[in-house]
Amino acid sequence: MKDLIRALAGRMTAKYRKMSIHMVISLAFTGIALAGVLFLGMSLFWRFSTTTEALMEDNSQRILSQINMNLDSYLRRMMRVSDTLYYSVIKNTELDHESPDDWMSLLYEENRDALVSIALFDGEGELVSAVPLNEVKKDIHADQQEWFTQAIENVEDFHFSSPHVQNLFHDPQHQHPWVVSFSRQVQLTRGGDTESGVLLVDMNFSGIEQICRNVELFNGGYVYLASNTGELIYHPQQQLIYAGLMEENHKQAATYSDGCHDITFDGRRYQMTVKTVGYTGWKLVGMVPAQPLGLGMNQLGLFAVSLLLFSAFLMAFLTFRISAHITDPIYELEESIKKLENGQENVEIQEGGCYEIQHLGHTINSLVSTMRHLMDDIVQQERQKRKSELDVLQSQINPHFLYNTLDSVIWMTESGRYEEAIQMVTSLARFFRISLSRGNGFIPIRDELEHARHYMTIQQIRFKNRFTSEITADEDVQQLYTVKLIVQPLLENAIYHGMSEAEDDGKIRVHAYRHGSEVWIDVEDNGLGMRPEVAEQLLSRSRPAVTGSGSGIGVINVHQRIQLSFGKQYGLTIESEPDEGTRVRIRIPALDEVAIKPYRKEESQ
Amino acid sequence: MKRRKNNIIQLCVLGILGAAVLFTLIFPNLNVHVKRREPLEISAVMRDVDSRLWSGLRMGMEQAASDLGAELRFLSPTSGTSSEQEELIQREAERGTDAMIVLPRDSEQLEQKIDFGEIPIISLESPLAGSRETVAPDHPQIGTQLAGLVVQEGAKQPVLLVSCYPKSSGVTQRVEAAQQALKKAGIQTILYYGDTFTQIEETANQQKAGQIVALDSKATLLLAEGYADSQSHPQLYGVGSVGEITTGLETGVLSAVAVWSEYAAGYMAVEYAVASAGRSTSRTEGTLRTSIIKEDEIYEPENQKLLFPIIS
Repeated sequence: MKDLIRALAGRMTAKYRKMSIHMVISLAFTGIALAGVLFLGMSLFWRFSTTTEALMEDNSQRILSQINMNLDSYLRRMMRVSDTLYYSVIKNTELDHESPDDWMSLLYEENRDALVSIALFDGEGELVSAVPLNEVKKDIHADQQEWFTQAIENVEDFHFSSPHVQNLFHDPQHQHPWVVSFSRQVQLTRGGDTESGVLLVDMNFSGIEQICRNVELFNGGYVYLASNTGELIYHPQQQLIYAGLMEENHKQAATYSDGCHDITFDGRRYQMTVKTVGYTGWKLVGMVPAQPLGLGMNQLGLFAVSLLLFSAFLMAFLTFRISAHITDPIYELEESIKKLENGQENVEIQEGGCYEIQHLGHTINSLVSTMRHLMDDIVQQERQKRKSELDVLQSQINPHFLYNTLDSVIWMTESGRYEEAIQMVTSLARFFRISLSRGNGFIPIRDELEHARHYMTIQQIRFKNRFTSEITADEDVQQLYTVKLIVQPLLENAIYHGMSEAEDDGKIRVHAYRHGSEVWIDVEDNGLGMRPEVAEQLLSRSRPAVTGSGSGIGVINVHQRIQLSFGKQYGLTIESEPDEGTRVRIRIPALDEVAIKPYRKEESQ
Repeated sequence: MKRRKNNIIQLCVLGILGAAVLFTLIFPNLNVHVKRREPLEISAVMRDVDSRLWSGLRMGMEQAASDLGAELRFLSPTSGTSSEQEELIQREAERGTDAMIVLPRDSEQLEQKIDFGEIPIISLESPLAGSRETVAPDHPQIGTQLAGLVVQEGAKQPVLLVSCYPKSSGVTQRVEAAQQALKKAGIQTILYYGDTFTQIEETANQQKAGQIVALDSKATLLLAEGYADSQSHPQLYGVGSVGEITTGLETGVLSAVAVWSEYAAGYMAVEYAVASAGRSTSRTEGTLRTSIIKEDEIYEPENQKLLFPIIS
């Protein structure tokens, strides 16, 4: 069991950790709100139930009190008839000479609606006087009947019988009324002597029935009347009970004291209210079913449930809105940051929601802005750095050549070789013009090759035509662009390394051509060549600088500049065989005037 | 995606709560609507025009109808014939009453000729094929008990068994049981079916019957009224609790009667009818208890409850 609980707790914890803040807030608020509403509802329901029960009890008691009053009034009326007859008539009647018939008839007529008969018997059970019928059945012995014996035995008390069919008088119409007999012992005066007798007033049972009939208690409850011995006097389903088709707890009820009692009868719970009817000792019993509730209670209960559900609905709605108000700005912030992470540009950081979220958003915005500025600065600095590197790299190439060339112009002028001097100066001027190229780092291949031609012209003059050169280019590459000053350094290397031992048979060839999406410029010489492993090392950055007039830095310089400008997939490749010669291949992308623009733009920034 | 899922969950929760609120607000009106259905119409077709013979039944039926919210329509054949009862039943069936209670005069004829269709039928006294329930006392027991009384008297003369309903299967059961019991006791029985007192008296005289046992309330009533002023007559036994029968018992015209609560029978019949028509009702439980009441036992507390229904 413990393990199960632990496992469950673990699962719930894991689930909680994966939950969004929105769900956590929603669930927490909703749970608390529902718990509160439920608690309130239960309290109200309990209070309502208690109050309803109390109301039911009160209602039953009030109704029973009212019925009791009515019954009491009815029985008092009978008692008044009896009293009137006894004290005003019988006591003052000498039976030997007078008869109480007339007074009896008068009283009977006055109370005809409630009475069946009035009769006076002597102590032996012989009829003295009776109205309206006055002939006792032959086989009836009044002195053996319960109403008589009870009256004689309990001199001071009245006696009320339970309902029964009157079986006293001979009725030509053969009526069999149900009556309740009210009997009392009386003193008769006969021949100057007093003797005991019994005054019998038979009340019509329908009078009692009408008082108790059609009484409806709460929740379909009803009222019945039982004697103090538990015998049924009146019940709304009396006939069915007599027929044995229904049962009632009248015998049990007779044992209860006045008040409300919770009982279970025939599998159902009832609220039983008992009230004793004065004089008779009868029990008025109100039976209210405890469950199920009637339609009215059901409706009230349903209404209460509706209210509770509505409260829950409102709370849930408010909770969801509030949690959304708190968490939506956080979500949006999260989305914005995700976009930033994915490298999206111009992402707008939302600054909405509560103050804290706004502040967070604002801070992140500032952070992003600062980051962007820093990145821009870095990019700018990198560009500057690259440009400077390029500039530096470029500047590494020129100085010695200028000095040497000017020296050559001086001694040629001094020697009177004016034509050669003019050609050299002209080529030099053009060489430097193309070198500057108005500050452009990228020039047409046509210009680059012309730059190389002028360089070779100068060098050939300087080296007294110890070697020849051929610089060609396919038509389709002339208009394409390249980084400037990449061919001349290679020619310089070819001259200083390849042609150093040449004796008029040295040849340097430059050819530019298209190779797919690239432009290849091959710079070949038939010079000394070098071992392949040396050739491989030439382009290594870690290679120590080789001093000399042709420093060799030019090759690396060219290679680095090409790669800096176009990427690592471009640059130089060197193939060489000792005594065979060397070929340096320049590989650059084939960029026309349109394609080179971004590179120029970057250069200018 | 997660937000969308959360939103869907929230919408579902709000939707369920909102629907529950609406349902709890509307439901009481549905209940009330259900409760306010039209009252059930029940036709009660008796077999005799003499309403005294079914007054107890009527009281019980009316009380039950009042308690259960039904409307009763009492019909009886004016000519007192089976064919007229058959016509009444057919007419009520065609009219489309919700349920019918029938006290058959001729069970067999009704079973053969009437098509009750979907209308639930409750039969009184005698079962009918197609009826949902039959409300009746124990007929063989009645016949046997009455025969037993005769045997107790040490009857030597033939016993006349009388009935006004030869075609009522319930009454026939009583007759057969009485015949059997008397035959077993070695007492000769004569069976007579007729509905006039003079014929019964004549037959009794002709057959020199010492006892007459009426096996239905109409025959008993005829005997009670017919012999009311007679100084000498055979010993009479019967069934039923009609007022005149009770008077006959009280005056000694009748020696004993078999009695059951007609009120309860009527009440149960309506209860069954309402239940058969599909309306829920609390069912009384039990069977009709029969008592043999002699002349001097009328006013016993239990007997007077059977013989004298409390009339409101």
